[in-house]
Amino acid sequence: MEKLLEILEDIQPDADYETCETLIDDGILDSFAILSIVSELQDEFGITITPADIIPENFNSAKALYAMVERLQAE
Amino acid sequence: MRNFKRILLPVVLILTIAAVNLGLNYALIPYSYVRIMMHQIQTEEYDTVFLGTSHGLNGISPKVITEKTGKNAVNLSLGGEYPRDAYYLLKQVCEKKKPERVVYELDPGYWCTPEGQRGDFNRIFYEMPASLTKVEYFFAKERELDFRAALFPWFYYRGQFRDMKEIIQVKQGEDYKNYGTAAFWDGGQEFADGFLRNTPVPGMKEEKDLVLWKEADRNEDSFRYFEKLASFCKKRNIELIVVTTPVPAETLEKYAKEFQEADAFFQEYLERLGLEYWNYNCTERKIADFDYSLNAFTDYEGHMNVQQAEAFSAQLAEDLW
Amino acid sequence: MSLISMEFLLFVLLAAAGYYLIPSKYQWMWLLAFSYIYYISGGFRVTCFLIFTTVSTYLAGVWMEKVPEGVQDKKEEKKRKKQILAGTLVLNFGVLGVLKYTNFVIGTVNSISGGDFEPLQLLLPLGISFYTFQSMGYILDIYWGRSQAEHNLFRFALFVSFFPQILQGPIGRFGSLGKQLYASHSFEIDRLERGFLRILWGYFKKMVIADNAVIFVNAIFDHPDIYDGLGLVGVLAYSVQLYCDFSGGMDVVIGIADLFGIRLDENFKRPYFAVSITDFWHRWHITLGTWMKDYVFYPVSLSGWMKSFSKFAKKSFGKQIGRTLPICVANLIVFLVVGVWHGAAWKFIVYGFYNGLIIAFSGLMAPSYRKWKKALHISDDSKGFYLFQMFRTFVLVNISWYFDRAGDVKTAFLMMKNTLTKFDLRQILEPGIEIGEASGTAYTMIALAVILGGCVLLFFVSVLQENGKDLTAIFARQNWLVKAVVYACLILLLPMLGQPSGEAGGFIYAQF
Repeated sequence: MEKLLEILEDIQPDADYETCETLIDDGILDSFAILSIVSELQDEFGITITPADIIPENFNSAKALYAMVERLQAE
Repeated sequence: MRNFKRILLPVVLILTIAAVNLGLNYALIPYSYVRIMMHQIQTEEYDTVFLGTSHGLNGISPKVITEKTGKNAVNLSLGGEYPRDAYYLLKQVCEKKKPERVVYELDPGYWCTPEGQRGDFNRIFYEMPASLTKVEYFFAKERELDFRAALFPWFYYRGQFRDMKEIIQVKQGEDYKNYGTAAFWDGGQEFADGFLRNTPVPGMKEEKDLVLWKEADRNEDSFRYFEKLASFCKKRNIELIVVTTPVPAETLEKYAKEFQEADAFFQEYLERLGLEYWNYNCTERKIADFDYSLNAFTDYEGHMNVQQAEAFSAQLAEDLW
Repeated sequence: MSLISMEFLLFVLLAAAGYYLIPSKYQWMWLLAFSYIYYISGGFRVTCFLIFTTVSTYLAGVWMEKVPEGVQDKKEEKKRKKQILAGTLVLNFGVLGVLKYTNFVIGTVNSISGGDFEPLQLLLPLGISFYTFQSMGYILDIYWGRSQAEHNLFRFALFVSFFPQILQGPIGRFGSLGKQLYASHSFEIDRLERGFLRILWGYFKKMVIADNAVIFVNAIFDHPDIYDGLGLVGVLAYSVQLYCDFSGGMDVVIGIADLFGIRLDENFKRPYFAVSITDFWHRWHITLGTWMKDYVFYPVSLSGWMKSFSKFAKKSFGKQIGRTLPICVANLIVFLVVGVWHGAAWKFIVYGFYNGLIIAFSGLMAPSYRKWKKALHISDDSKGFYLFQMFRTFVLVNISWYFDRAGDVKTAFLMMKNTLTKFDLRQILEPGIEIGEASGTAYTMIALAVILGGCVLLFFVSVLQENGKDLTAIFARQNWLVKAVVYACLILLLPMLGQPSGEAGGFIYAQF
């Protein structure tokens, strides 16, 4: 989780990732940021993210992102 | 109470718009001879009916025809009158009395261009008396138009707001009430004897690019409605004759190819429909003692002046006789 | 049937009246029947293409759902699904491509090789881009497991052909639109009023603002040599025309769907208030933008070869650039597609490339911008900076309109140059800009005043909406007299100040 927060901070500073639950719905992350995050997550955690995973529910909060990473690691 | 208000809104809205419509129709749409034509076909009975385009309106004197043939004639040709409009005009005429003979003045341009959306294209519908034919005409023509043309007849005349005073004055005058023609004299043109009389203006006329005939651009509606008109006549035993009015020799020469193509095409087409086609530009139908030079015509397109029109009408009457 | 024709009004009236008179479980069939009547009225032969897309996509969806039953493992399942997907995409985009782009290819081949191949006479089915995109979105959603396949062919046919939207969008998603189409809707006067107001507002934007602006646009862009001093007027008029024409058409479409109780996706959110080109595309033709994002941008970015490119880029250019570069490339691809979607011509490719390049550039520069802003003490929240961004974006968008509207790329550049060097407002009163039936300049000033007045009203409404005011709700609370006045004004202004909508009577986007 810490590693994840670090990545998020690096890509898009000035957002409160610990509490925010509407990263997508409020437009804090745009598609460039989303893909940058995806790219880093893939490298960092050795997972493969497919277009099917890119839905708001997976990206709206750091928690949701972490859950997605864990799920994909298990597969 | 709540329900009452719900109904109030649409009712008030419709009434307001209807009132504004009425007022603006009166103030913006100028007096037109189409109104006279409609009055004529509602009040008088005719044996010979002329339908067609501006060439017919300028070139055929129903007075001369009536005098020479002894049959009461009316000219319902108009600029912007496509076969579709002609068909419904004829139907309207028949609501009063079935004529013996219909002469359709054919301008090939009307068979290969789309019907435009301008005020005068809508005028026949606007002036037509309330009738079943008008309802049919609505579904045949108005429905395809911009809804503003059908719902707000003054739409195409909104630019006339500067002449509003004059238009209202004319409409309040005696002449208008009596279906008079004083309002149409504009120095070069008048509407009298049932057609548009152009004062001869000698001298050169400017050459223009003309749409004469292009088979590739056929307006299928024109063909469809002409055929409806033809079968309408056939069913009711009305004789139908098709004519094309003379055009200046210069125009004929410059556009020789198009004229020949059009003539060949329509001779063949009308023969197939079992109709006679008199093209007054063909050698065998050239009128003796008729000035075919451009200088004599009103314009390059071949709208006739009043003397030519009367000479042509005399010839036409003779041929019809 | 044009959206502004008398018959269309009667058609909608009949469809809406019947919709609430029949038992509600038949409502969707009623809509399907009217959608097909509408489509067939535009040409019987082109309907075959619509049916082809409907049936092929429907079958693919059902088939794809059945795949897991017949296969051993996940890998095989994926492979089979992929084959079905590829087949469907190739077939349908193939038809679209052949019909829309064959003549462009022939023209290009001719001009390069000096050959003389005859262009083909191809039918272009109404709304083919819109319904193809909508259907392909559906099949991709099923492939990714985002939605379930529809098992009733006729229901699916309604999703593809729903008549208000088939001509010019918005491009709907099966997940949200499908449900609404098949649900039953009861008669609700408030909803009808809302739809009616929306329709009137759309006609107002189209007939009064856009159709007055188009006179200037056509005069200036079609005669750049005569009106060389009016480039600025031309491009501004074009940005007004394009927005009012397209978003006005959308208002009509969305309003009509409202009459049936169906909420379509919004396609515009005050695009000229955008603060960046990215933001602009989130506000302009939104459903095309999100379609491109979900079905082109993400899949391309996440594809295998992009991943390899990303690895290579990270190694060569460092982490940050290496991470962003592949996204920029994917973005450029998306905008080339958007450009080509707008039309088969080089100027549209330049138009797309221009947009993609700006977005890619600002994506690459984002970290640097952040640093600069910090150093210069500029806050994102300051009003001045916000307005500056808005103005900058508006200028950038207007530059792209030159490519969109000018005859070709060369003319676009020439007009841009003239805009900067030959500005001369007096040309506007030179004869040639003909308003309606009157030739000459008798009505030029009136038309200009109407455009200006319309834009002021539009601006006022937009500012309120941008600040979160729900104007329709506010309107709904007014008493009947206020409503009657607003309705009557909107209705009467259409013929009073509006211009006839050209010979074709069409909306620009209805040709796609």
